[in-house]
Amino acid sequence: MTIVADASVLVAIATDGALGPADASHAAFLAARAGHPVRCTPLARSEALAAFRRAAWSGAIGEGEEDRLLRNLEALPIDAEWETGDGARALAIARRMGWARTDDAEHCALAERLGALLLTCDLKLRRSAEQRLDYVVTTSELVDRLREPPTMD
Amino acid sequence: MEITVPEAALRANRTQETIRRWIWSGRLRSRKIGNQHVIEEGDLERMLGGAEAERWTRYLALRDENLAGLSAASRARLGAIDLGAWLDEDRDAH
Repeated sequence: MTIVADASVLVAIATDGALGPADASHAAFLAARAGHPVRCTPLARSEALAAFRRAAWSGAIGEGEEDRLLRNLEALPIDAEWETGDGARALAIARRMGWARTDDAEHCALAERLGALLLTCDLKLRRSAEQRLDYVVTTSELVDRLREPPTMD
Repeated sequence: MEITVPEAALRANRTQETIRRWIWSGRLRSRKIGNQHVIEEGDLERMLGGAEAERWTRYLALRDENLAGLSAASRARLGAIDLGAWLDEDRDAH
């Protein structure tokens, strides 16, 4: 099963949980070790980079320290993927969910096309997806799933 | 469950040629049905998992080295940020 990581997960991993939950790296590592490829949208990388710049701009980190975080983002073993048709899928999801914007819908669209789980640290997205987008999981939910013993079928 | 070479290529996000090379080199077990190789899905997952785990281990070491240069004060301030609110604000500001 493929895992699609959204921006909140990329940020949490690149900062080792300094910005986001500490178990994001563990969740992605467990998924990769179990043979589940981890992917993201190009938008997720852009959003993560924007968050690093904002951290420097707001004074949370020293000016220039965002370069370190960028290096961690660029080296992430998570390939970005996007193809024709994903935009239409994102629009359809946004309409179905009643969302005014397509940002979260883009991550959902990639997950739907790949038949993947969408991994997020964004509890607001997780709540909003509740029941209607059953492939959206938090990092702790993914860790629990990957720890489940294999079924006997 | 057994899968064909084209299915394995899709699953692994690699070319069919790469999957065949893994089979010929003995890295990936397969059996032949007629003139077609089939692969046990679990074997492919274990192989991919091993390679991916190595990739992640190398990444995490590099990341930690990079983060070691970040000041303790910066790390603490990062921990106080509500990233979800930031992402929402950035989107609204576009």
